[in-house]
Amino acid sequence: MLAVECGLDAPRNYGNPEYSTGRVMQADRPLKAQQSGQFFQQFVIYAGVEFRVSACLDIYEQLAQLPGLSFEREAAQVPLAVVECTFERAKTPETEPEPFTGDRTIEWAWSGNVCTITAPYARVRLVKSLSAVQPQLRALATVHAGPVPLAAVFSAIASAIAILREGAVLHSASIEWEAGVVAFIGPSGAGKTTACQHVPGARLFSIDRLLVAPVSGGQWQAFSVPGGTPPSRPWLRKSRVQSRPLLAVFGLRHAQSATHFEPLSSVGRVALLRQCAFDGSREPAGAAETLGNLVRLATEVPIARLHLRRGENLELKLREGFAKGFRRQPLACQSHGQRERWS
Amino acid sequence: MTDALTEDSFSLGCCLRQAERTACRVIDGKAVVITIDTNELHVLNPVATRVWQLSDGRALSNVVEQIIGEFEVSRCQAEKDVVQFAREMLNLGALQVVESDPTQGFFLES
Repeated sequence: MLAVECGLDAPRNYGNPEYSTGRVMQADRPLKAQQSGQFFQQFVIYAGVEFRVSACLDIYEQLAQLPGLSFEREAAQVPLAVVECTFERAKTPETEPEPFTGDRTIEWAWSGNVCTITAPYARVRLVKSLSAVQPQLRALATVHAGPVPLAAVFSAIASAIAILREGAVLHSASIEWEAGVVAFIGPSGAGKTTACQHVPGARLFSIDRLLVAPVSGGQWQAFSVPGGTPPSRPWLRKSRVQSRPLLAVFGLRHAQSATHFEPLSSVGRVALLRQCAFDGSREPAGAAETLGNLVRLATEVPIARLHLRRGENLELKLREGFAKGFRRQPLACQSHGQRERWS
Repeated sequence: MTDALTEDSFSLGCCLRQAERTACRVIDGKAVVITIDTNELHVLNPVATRVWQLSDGRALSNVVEQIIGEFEVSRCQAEKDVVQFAREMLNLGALQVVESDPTQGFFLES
């Protein structure tokens, strides 16, 4: 087993508090550290989360191979969170590794300020502590020995944090367009990535998974999670940023006639989001929290059904739609005190 | 519990409450209920939502009384619909049967 300890409760890993802000691998440091048993420290951004990683050599080397990492924060970027992370290998193996079945097997459960995350080959204990200045996040995790799907571990931590931040994790392909993000959601095969390619002026923001969380003033921010199967014929350039304001969410359907947007009822919007949201919680409180977050998302961000006919320029339709006003649609709770007709 | 409930034994005397492994939000008067173990989402109409809200361990007969007071419906129709709805929700695992103790006024899980 491999222990991945993330956070401030690992003071022994913070003898050298200086985090490298350059590329992960530096020629002389790995060997030096291996001999002294030190941990490597690295600042990386993944899925909008700033990870201040301390890792033993083998994890550190795997980190260098991980696609989708960013080493510098964009000036305008709003981080989802800052997490202190330390990776270390456990002394003795505990159980046989389970087959890696993809990062959708992630589960998490918040209990007070502690979140237990189960990801492929990994178990992470994420702890939230409140300091006088700002909340701090740290975690303690155990992962199997050998190659570790670090992407799944980072993704799992980011997902749990998104829920903590009253956000959601959507199964979505999305584009960076007009200084914001337009997300397409739907089940596998619905044409999410294809829809992205119908907006020629956009950049591909995320392929498979998108984190969304509220920021100030009723606005939501989208954070791209690396990964997913890229389109076989990529027509769009890839976005260089990991976060942008969320403009709208569209549930996809194939259209027989012209491309058009279909407004949804309030319940329809929540149901659409719920169908395409990852819910790693298996406890009622967590499920209720996730559902509450989706209700808020449905209230504060324009959501509609998009009937897309292949080959049609979606960019024109988007411009038309935003000009006409995709708008927030407040949800209301009905009073049950009055006498109503039977239906 | 729910599995042991048969068509014959189910009556207005049964006491029901929302199952623990559910999550719910009421939006525009309609309850969105998630059954966690099956990962299913159920949207209830306003009347069903009211029945759902009243399912706090009280007897179905009490639920019917409340519904009759709040909606324009005959007792016969209300009884029929409430029982049918309760049976559906029991099968979905969204409601569960509890046994009431009439002497104590407490509800005991069966």
